[in-house]
Amino acid sequence: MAGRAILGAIGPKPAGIHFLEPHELVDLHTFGEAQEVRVFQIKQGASVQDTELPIGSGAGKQVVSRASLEVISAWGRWEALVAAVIPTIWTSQGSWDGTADDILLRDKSTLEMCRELLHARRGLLRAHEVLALERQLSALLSDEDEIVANGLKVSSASLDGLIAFLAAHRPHTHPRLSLTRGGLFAASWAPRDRVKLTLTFNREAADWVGVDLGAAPPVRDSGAVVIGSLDGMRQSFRDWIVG
Amino acid sequence: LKGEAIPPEHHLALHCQPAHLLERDENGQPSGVSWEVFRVDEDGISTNWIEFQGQKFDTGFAEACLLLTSTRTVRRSHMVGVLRVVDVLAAGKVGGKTANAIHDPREIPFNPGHALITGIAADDRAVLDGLSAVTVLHPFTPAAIQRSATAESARRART
Repeated sequence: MAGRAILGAIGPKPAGIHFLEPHELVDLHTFGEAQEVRVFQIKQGASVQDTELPIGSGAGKQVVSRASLEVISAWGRWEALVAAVIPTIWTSQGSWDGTADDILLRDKSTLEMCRELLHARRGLLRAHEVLALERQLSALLSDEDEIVANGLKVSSASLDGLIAFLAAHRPHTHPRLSLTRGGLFAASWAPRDRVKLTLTFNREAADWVGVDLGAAPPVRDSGAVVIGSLDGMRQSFRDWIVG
Repeated sequence: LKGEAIPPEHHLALHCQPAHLLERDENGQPSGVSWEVFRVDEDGISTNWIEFQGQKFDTGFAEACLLLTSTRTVRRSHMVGVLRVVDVLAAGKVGGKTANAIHDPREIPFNPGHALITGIAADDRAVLDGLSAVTVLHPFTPAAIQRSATAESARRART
């Protein structure tokens, strides 16, 4: 949904950053299903543009870029910065607790952003899962030109959901991984030929589709599960993940 | 022959791209396809009939790879999805549809092995899921990648 941003005048502004005035920041963002601040790590660099200012959370320690609006990390050493996000309104408060060099936005590739999220969540996963996800992300997202050409906006909320799912269920085999055209992560299990179970992730839930063309008669079923539960999924498909 | 039904034991080749629609295994290798890799146009899903000239699979596959370069640029990250026609028909049934695989040779661009999967709509998710479950990935042949790269270079030179 569209949000309205108001960037407050907050304590001493870092040198070298041009802040837009509140009236210039209108309808900047489309937020996902979760009504929450989406977080960026900040790095030193020279890539700041007037249209890509960091916007932070009233909760502190979070910084948001209007550039891509994806959850990257809850790191940061800001006491409080700029805005809290509510679906249709932002409020601003807080103060800077960094230097100018700290808040220049970084030109991150999609792959870098996903890797950083994986790094931040790696404690939830088993070592082989982290390694597998590293390899899968690299394979899926290494061609930034193609990502841009296809207009792919990768959802880190979806990656977060996938990671939480793996942590909650400890699948006995690591899934295949792909992305939808909408930028959501999809994990699939195919324990034999002509069968497949695919889960497409949001942060809190996943849509699942199972196909077994080898069964007599062939089976196809679908539904949705919350991340922490497989309730509602046909048992024969569930067994492919945790059986 | 245009409109000819392709024998169920024969195979279809599908140009699978972009890279993010290719499923990756735990080593990052392509191992399957997303249902969204099947682009359903008005006349069906565009593929190439591998054995259309009576060739063995390997020979026909190499030919199909070259022919696929006639319509789209082939990159190293792209793959060829191979589907048995009998599995295409089964995927249609599981989704409650009557899918068919028919020969559809094209003159422009020249592609005598072009084939269509028909009877499926773009929103027939059940059928497309079935197709994704029976698609086996193969890399493009080096000759096809080279041909596509050469054609791309020529296009750029012209512009």
